[in-house]
Amino acid sequence: MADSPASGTPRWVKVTAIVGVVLLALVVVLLITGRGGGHGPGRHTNDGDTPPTHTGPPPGMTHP
Amino acid sequence: MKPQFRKLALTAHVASSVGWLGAVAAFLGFGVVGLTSDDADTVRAVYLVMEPAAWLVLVPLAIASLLTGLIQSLGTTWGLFRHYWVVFKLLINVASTVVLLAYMNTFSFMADVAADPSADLDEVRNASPVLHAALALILLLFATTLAIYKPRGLTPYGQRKERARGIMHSG
Repeated sequence: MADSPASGTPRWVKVTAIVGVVLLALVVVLLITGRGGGHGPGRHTNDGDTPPTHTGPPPGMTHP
Repeated sequence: MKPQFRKLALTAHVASSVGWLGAVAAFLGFGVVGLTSDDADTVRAVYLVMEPAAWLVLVPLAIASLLTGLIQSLGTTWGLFRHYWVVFKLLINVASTVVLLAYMNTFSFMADVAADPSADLDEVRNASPVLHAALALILLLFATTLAIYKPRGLTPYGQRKERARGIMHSG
């Protein structure tokens, strides 16, 4: 990881930035496509626009 | 910053940051118990206790880690944007805190489901805390590693500051 102020961006910074961007893109894709197990942003921002993902049994099939 | 206050601030930063890491590890344990326990009361209790425990432990430690980190970097020659490792730690800390605060809604939601006696145990179980805690653990471990190793590398802003300091010292 040796570098001097004039040697530009260190390799560890580039590698970390690439891994970070890839992971971030993966999370965004999962959220947009809904493949994150129904775990969209609405789950985090329960502002009334998005109904909670708690899906209880349908009417008529409630537990005794 | 005076040496005594600097040591106090460093102690507070290390304690809150490592404490946050430990608390996240505990939440990972909660999440695993919630997914694997055969005891219905234990499963419900796990998801009921997550929300208050997060408000009482995770959130204060996250905010304390962020604030003490800001004091630590701005009050010393490390600065906030001079070294890449400090910038990465700041990004990890801010992102983790924002996601945690947003995730409090999810904790609340899971507690509501767990408190609903008509909810099936399979509905109560939720893999989300395990996923989030595991990711947070990786990020916070990386931040801790950065803090210990302090890998070299000045940002363009840091390089300009360094050159300015060199000119001042030689002038």
